[in-house]
Amino acid sequence: MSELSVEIVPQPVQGRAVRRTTVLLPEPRGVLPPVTARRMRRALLGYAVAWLLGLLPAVLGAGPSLTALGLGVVFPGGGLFATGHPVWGAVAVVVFVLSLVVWWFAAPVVLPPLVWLAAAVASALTATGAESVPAWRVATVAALAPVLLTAAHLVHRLRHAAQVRTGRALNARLAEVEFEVTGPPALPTDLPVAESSPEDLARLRYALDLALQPLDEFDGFTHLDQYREAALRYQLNALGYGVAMSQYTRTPAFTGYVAEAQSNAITKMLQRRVWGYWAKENAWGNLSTNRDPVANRENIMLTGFQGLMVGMYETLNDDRFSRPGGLTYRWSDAEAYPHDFGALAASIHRNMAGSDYTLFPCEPNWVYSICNTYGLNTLISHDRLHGTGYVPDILDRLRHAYETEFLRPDGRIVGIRARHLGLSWNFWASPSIQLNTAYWLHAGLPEIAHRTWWLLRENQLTLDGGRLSLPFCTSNRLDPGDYTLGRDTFGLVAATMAAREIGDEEYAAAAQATLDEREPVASAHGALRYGEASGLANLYGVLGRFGRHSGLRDLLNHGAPPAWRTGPRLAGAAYPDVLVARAVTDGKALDLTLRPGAGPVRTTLELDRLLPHREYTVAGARVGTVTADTAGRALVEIDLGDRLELRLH
Amino acid sequence: MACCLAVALVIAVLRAGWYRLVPGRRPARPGFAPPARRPAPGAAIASVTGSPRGSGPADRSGDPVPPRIVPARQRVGFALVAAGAGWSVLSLVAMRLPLGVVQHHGHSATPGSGVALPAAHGFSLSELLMHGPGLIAIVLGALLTLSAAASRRPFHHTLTPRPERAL
Repeated sequence: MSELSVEIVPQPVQGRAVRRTTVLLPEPRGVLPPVTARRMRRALLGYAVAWLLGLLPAVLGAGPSLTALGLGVVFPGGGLFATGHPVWGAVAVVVFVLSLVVWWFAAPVVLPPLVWLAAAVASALTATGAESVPAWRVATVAALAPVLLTAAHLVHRLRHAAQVRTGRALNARLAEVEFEVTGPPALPTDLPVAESSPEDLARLRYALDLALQPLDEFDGFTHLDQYREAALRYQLNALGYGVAMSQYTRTPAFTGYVAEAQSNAITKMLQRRVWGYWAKENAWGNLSTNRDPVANRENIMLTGFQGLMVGMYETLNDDRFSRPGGLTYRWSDAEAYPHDFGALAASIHRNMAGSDYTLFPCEPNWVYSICNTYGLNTLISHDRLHGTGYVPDILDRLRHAYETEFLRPDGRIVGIRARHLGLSWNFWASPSIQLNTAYWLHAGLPEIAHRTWWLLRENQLTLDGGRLSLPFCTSNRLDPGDYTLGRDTFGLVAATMAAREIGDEEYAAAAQATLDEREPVASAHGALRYGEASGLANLYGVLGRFGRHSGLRDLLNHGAPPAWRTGPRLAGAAYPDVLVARAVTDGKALDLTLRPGAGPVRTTLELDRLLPHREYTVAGARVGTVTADTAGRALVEIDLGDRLELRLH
Repeated sequence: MACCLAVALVIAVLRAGWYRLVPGRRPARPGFAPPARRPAPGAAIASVTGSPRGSGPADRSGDPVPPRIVPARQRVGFALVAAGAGWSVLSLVAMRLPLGVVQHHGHSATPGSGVALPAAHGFSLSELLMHGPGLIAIVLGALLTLSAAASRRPFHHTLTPRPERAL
């Protein structure tokens, strides 16, 4: 390891190999990280040229129109102010700031310059024939940007110095902390397959009902916009992750409707209504008419997120999305973009390798640290499934970027940077982004994930009486799934996910207990959801509920053991008549725990991956033996009235 | 997910403010999907393969979905945006007309040019009254349209307090 950590001694803990390591915060080498500093210098140089050119008409004594135009270039609304319209100048500034927000929201890169230039042109038009611009107004407009930039720089230096002091104090404590990074799991000790409780199954039914509706229907989903967190794609992502995790930790020997649900979530993302946002964002963000959502330099918010869904699905089920055209994004009957899992992974690797930040943008220009964790996780699963070497090629660079460009000296992860300007928003280094990053980085950069979780425990999270609370601030009381304020449900869900994945079951149980105790529950036809939370929060709640220590890390890095890939499995069951609480194989036998989902029923199960023509003993079914057909399949009839254990061997 | 919660936070604050101004307009939160069904293996296979949309049939009997129509307030929103844009264009045109046709304070005429020019002494209230309504109508219309688009079928499932541990 680099300065990041000091490796101590690999040794087994509870049967599994672990690496014990100390992870310090890196000492910053300047007030700005190197790539960010370069980008900011370049942006400042560009602005300085515009500033000088804009001042020339005033300096050379040009007419009022040209002077106003120039001062409008010097500062948004500067021309209006200089020609005696301070209120309109202020309006121009406000509109310009709004245009920046819209740019941030949906990436129309042309909007801020257009607003800026429009205000300049308007000031030139209104100044025609007016008196000359007073010198004091020219000086005021000229001084605005330098004063503001200097003030921002000074504030940043002060904050940075405080963060460095905090970081050093934290390092003194971190030097005494050992984190345990788990190694490959061994079957069966490190791959526990738990049994879902009736409530677990009811929560899963909420997700299954969403996923199992016809592919072109989206009932029960939030429909607000397709650009930000409430977009359909993020709900589909969370849906796929949650169901996949339930399959991995509870029913690895069951495909059936659980596999179909994941496949449906992936396939729904190929519809234009889900991915079509990219055509617009690429048009107004990159001025490109290319609609291809994969063959581009950005859009990790699709390739990374959907690639991870596919990686999980293929690990546990089949490789349909890796076949040529397996992921075909259709724009119209005549226009489609045929891709596959390999194309998504190749796009992510190419873009990471080609970016000096290594991390690359979601929307045009905007680089998000959390989104790139999904890209890394896609590469991890693709490398394991297809033998590519993407992760070894970029991991060191990625770690360096997360530790320099996207980390504050006090250990908080920076959520966003503008690729061309280097700008970020310090206020956004909130617990929510830390919680999610701790979870999603655990598979690829576990040291950073552990340290981030430790910092959260030490500084942000409060455990009291077996209940967990987040700091009381606006960002923690936001539900991004439908942009509502007032409840910290989403934050608690993220805390459940992260704590469970890191192995801090005390905090995970406290977060889950807090949710269970406090959140109103809605129920319908056997499914449960948090009634006062968005669909997105509920679906990530499913992921957190079915997680376990290193669940994500094991699933992505190590996949399913050979016994799970070859042993007998439950291939089909009626839904919701048969709810599968547990399904596991040791390679030879199959153990199932089933519960009725729609009352007592006599029904049939389909088993596959049996040895052709072999007779198996079955306990728990209506018959005592069953013989596999030539394809290794068999049907078993059961009477399901309550919890039922079935064993085939 | 959580691509950048800060934008979501900005949107949330704006939405909270809007719904405080217009109570009752808050869209209902979507609840559940219609209950899905899959037949037992070896039974009723035809009903699955007969589904024209590639994924099995869903039982809709207990959960009808209303047809989606353009709500009245969305139409009002469109109208407001159009009217606001029209007003803004007209007010800009009016600003360029010679005095005597449309005159408003804060502008002076350049003789012979036929163009009204802003006086150098600054902004006037009449300018705001002239141009402001158009912009306000555009903003209100956009908000109405967005809020109408956000509306979906009502949340009509049971809501029970915790705890409820068992089915």
